[in-house]
Amino acid sequence: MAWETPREDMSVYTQGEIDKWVYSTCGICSNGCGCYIAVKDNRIVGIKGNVYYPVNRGRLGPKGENQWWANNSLDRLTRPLIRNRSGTLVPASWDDALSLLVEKTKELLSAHGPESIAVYHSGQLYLEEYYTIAKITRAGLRTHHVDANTRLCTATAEWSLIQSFGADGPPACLDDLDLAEVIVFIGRNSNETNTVLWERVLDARRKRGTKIVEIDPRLDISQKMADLSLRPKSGTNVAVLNGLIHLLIANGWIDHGYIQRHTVGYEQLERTAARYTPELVEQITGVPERDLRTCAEWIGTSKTTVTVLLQGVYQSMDATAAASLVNSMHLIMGKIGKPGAGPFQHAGQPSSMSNREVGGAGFYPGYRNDENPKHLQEIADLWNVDVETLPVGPQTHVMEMLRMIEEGHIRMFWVIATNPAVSLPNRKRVIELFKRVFLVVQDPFFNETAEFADLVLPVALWGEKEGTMTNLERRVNVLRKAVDPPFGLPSDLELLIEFSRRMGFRDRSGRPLITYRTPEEAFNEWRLVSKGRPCDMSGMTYEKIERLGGIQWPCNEQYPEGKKRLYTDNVFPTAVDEAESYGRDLQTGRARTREEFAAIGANGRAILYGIDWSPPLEWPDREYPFWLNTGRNVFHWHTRTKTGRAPLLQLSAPEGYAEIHPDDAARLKIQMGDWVRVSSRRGEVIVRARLTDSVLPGMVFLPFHYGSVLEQEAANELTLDTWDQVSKQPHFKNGVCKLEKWLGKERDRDE
Amino acid sequence: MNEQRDNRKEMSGLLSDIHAANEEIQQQLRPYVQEHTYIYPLFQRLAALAEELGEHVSAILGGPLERNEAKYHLSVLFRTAEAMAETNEMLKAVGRFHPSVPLQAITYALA
Repeated sequence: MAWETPREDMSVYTQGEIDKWVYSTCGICSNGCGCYIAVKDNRIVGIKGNVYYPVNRGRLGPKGENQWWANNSLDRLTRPLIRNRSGTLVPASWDDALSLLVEKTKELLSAHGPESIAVYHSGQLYLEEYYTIAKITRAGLRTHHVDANTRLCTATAEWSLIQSFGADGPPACLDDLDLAEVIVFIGRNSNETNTVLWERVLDARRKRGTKIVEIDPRLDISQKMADLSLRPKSGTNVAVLNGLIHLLIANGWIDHGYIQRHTVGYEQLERTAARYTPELVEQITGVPERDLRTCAEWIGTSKTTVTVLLQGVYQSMDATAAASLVNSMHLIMGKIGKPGAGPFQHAGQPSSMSNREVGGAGFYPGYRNDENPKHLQEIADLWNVDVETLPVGPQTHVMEMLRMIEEGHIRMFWVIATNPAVSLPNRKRVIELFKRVFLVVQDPFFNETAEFADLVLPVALWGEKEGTMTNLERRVNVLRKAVDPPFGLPSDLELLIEFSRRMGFRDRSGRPLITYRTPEEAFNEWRLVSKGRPCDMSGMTYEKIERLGGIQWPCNEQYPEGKKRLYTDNVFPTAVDEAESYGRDLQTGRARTREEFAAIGANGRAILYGIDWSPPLEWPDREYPFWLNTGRNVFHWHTRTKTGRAPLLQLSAPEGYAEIHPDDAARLKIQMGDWVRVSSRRGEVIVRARLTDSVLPGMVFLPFHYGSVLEQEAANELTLDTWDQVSKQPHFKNGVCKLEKWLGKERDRDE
Repeated sequence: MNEQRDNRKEMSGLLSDIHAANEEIQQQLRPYVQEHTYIYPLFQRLAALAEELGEHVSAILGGPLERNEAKYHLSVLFRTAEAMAETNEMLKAVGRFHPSVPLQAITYALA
């Protein structure tokens, strides 16, 4: 097994002895590394990896090691801000700020109903906070307009799992990476996005000779280190996967017995895949036939394979279709629910999983289906509210919220722990729309979105509050409070509870809707709500989680210490009354009815899909001849709200840039470091050129981290605001752009 | 009894409006679907949804149905209209032709 040798990564900046080390979890990516926070004089002064924690055995990534600097940043918000009549944000008391929030909410509820209010939050809060948001929005405000930035990173993972298996929950676990003969990464760039996981994979290769396959148009470092590298053209994942399935079937590398016993829909999959010969796949994707054959052979003839996906799939054309094909590929080989085998569809953010589990966005808590009257009644009983008061109907995803703002339906937009003015596609439109609503921003920092806010509510940060997070392998861990928040700031949970109290939200017996006061009490209520559902945490307590070093759900009477991997019994939650959703048609996105779902006849078996490749919605042309790709770099996380305040990280990557292939650069007379203008049908940015073979000729890559309102460097000025028809995740990876050398800034600087 | 008859009449009127608007969408989409089959999957998607919507409207208008059958067709109708509206939004985003007017007639009728 990997991580036999612990390594205590540490970053501390102080003089003298540390007062205490506080048990916690890294709050950056979805790996969820165990750590301890260093405290001196009630200040966070560092971090070290937890050598006993099974996920990382003491290791931390560069972002994780430096995250604590943000806690000490001098530009922390200290007081609420209210926009006054002359349009200026001015400091206000907490009482005034909360009174304004409550007054505005009540006014809108009374005049325009619950549909006039939307809450858009995060993948970086704690489980208890998401659960409270779910309860307040659904049972308090009675609005269905609640979504999170998890829509941008993990919605496709969630939906592909629902489509194939009936409910969310990654089947595989991190240990499987240690055991697999072959690991296939698709659209992942692990070396930059998830460095500890990547280190673990390299460790497994050293010890066991694991073969690594990378499928990604970008030739990043992980791709360069892989044993086999496939570089499909932008937006062609479905064709590549159909080609692999075609070869697996044609060569008999499948398990007919498993298919017959545990799946439905094989005929359709076989029929569709039959069309995707290696020749056709090469024509569509540019992946050489021999490489596709080698890849299929490695996958097909290995005893164990894990496939790990991320945004290269989830933010591309037909994302859910592609991710579901990965599930199908594993199912037809019977490589799921076994050590070293399974599709690893997972989240990008540290607590996206928690958000999904408790119904913070999309579904009802505990993976409950709001179209299923039985599930809805369960929630109504657990919350002691009338079932008729719970909102149902199509889930309002954030892109739909924008349309509803445009049409005047949504009038208040409450943003919690995220920065949509930088992270949403087609930013110019987003900013214009924010000017039309009563915008509330709840965040520790004055981020770019706050520039347009009517009300800013500062809150505590990681390390200053308590709660839990679920990582990418369903492992729930506790984050203990290390220090008191500065300036007496409340945690998000405290603020939400106070909002609920001031709004007077009550259950049907007249008791307050929210009765818990602390994170642990909130968690204990959630445990009851989760009981009997796939993400059952009824057997967990804070003390037990910390003692065992995190627990993977389900954790209940049957699995008191949790369960490593799902579907070991090959029974899937696809019975009509068990499923999280009745699913959607992968091609059109049309929601299935209960009758249609029942007619599939899965009833405990997994569902296979055959689906054809569709070209991306934008295609390079004369005017915009380059593919536009966006993503992360190793130094920053999201919109740099935290990492931009860590000196080492910020100095390493201080400004936006565009990666350009040297051949394209030569043609356009662009040299390394030149200013370039990258433009699309939505807008333009002016950034430095980086010449690198990590992008294919004809492609431009921009990191999406940058986007101050003053600098013209936000990748999302350019991105296409269309989305996957099933998961509603935006197509950040499939736009087109124009590239030219720009002399303006150079000239300005010379002068 | 009379009230029930009035409701049925109103429902039938609404469905006829939906049917007419949907026909218009299909008509408007035809040249785009044919010309841009390869490049613009959104047209194909919208056309497929319009065809599906047409089938279910016709089924309801076509004749007396059992309560469960009618409920089923109606629930598909709502879901199809929702997916059509989203596809239309995406066509707007990519700056392509989008049959907003007849589609709005459908969504208003279903609202």
